[in-house]
Amino acid sequence: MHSEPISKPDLAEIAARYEGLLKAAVEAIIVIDARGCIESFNAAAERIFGYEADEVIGQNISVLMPPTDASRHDRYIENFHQTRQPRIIGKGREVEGRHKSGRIFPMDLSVGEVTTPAGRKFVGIGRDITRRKAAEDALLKREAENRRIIQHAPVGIFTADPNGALHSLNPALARLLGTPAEALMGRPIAVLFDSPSREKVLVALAEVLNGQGQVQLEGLLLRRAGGMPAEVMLFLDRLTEESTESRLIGQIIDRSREFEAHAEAQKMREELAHAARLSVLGEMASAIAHEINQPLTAIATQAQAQRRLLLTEAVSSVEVAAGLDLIAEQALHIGQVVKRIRAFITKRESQLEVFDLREMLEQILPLAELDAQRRGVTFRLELAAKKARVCADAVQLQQVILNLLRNAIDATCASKTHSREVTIRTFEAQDRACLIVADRGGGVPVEHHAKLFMPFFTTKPEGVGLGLSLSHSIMEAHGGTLSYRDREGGGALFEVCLPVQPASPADAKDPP
Amino acid sequence: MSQGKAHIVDDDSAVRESLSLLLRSVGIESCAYGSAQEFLAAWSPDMSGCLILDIRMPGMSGLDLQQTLQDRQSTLPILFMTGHGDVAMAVRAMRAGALDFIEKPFRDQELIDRVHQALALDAERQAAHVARREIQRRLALLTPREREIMDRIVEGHANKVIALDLGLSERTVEIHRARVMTKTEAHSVAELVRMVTLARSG
Repeated sequence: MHSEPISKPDLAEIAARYEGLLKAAVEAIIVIDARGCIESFNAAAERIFGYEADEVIGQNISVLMPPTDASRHDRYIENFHQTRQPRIIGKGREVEGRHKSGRIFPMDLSVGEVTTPAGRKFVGIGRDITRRKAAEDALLKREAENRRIIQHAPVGIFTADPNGALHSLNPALARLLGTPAEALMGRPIAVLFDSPSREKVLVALAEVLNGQGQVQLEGLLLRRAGGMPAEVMLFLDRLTEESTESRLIGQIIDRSREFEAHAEAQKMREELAHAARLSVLGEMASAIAHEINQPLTAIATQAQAQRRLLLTEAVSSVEVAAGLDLIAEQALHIGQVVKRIRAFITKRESQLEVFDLREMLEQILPLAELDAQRRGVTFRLELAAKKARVCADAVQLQQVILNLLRNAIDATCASKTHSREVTIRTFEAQDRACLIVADRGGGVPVEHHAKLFMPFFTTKPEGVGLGLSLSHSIMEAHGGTLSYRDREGGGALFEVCLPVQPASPADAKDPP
Repeated sequence: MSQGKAHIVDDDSAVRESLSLLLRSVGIESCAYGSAQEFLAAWSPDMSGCLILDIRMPGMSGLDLQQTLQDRQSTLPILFMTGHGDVAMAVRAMRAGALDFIEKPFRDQELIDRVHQALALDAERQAAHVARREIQRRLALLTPREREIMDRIVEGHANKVIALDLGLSERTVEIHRARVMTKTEAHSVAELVRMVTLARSG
């Protein structure tokens, strides 16, 4: 503008320059007089407002405004003249313009005041911002949508600064934590978790900041104000993909419902398993009564005999002592039987423990032998010498095995088979501890193979059809399997497999 | 007559030992077996005494043994030992001719009384058996003619009727009759009738 000092004003040249400027300007440049009459209307203004300059020069500026603004504009000018307090002059402002077609559009407008010999004038410079406005609106809308998504997400979402302090969180997370969002701001996210989950989260934070990409943690315990900890899953990542980004975004998914559903199913299975154990014992009642009655008979008879001998003839104290030994031994035997039965039928929550498959088998065998002996069936044991450590609920596993053994005994008795022997074999194959129960009974007809583990499928006249299906679901719940195949040479073969647990350091030190 | 032995069959050694001791305390001699098969191996037709038999045993059961002994025409009285749940089995055993059954565990006196009963029954049976054998031995001494005449005497026919019937003289019949009475050692017709009845019963 001040490229060279104008020493002698050449009016013609100034006018020409002014004309050129007006034409070349991208913005609409409109000059009005003190009353609001349009004096000048440049090419850009023609384009933006759709009027020819001739059409509007001399008209009041309000023709270029929406009707509501137009009615007020005269008052604005009046006000300015009186107070000299500009509302718009000197600063840009977003207003609305009216196109010749009547379309209202947003525009940026700045107004300047000039005083000329012909009086005071106002210069308005404006720009159609429809497109910019649309882009801005779209952006705002999208941002609002995103915010809504985050606000309404059922998943807990948070952002954190590089130190792991909470920067923002959505209502779902606040609800899950049972604490208002404001109270949580700035708190380290790790303290939201119970130890040892907390340590895992701290490790994950470090990993993500080191650029290891998204980290996913399962089975964390999230502390909740005034409630039980919730079992959650955590996803942690950098807020943006840039490698310099050190802010974090995290998602916390509440899994306690699934956990509860799982626990519910587990409880049902326990109930059913307990009922099945009771029914098995019910079926075995007479065998068990016999097992207890025998030692009771020995005790009673021995005591009565000793008493008679003491009164009638001279017996040596050695003989009496031997009699008392027999009594004590028999009483302890009864105790063992009762203990085994109690352990088997006691209603209890499922407890996982690591134990040797063979030891467990040796505990349940006497119970199964009660039944076998009575029915003239013998067990042939082919047990692996090596310990096979498995992690399971011992009682439920015993139940599965007892069920298989009883089925094998039934099958043996039901068929006029040449062998009254049931084979029990344990072995280890591909990190799985396996146990086989095989009989020489009639086997399972091919058409029944598919239905074998379905509930209420039975071939026994008095069977309910829950034994095998329950056993199957018990094995699956333990990450194991229960399968059937025809035994080579005739009969049925059931196989139970469980993952082998790695040996503990204690075992490694002194091998069996 | 000397008292017979009590034969104990039970798969539980503690029960066997205690039972033997109890019987010894009242002066009853006993012999114990761990299974039905073991007992059968020791069995002979002239075995006397009684059998104290557990009804429920692995392998051959008490009921099976009872059946086998019946097939072998043993007269050994059987006293069954049963558990609480074995009522149906006990009923079967009684129907099959068992002397009695006793529920485990039992009072000593109850068992002793029953064993005494069983031994007395066996002694009686043994005595009857001996008597029958003696009579059969005597009857075997008779000639066919003497036997013919004895049958008619036992049926109550008079000498005259028998003579007429067989076409003999009354005198001949009288001689045969005297020989029959001598050989059988019967002192009266009534005694002869009793002997023949006993001989035919076994």
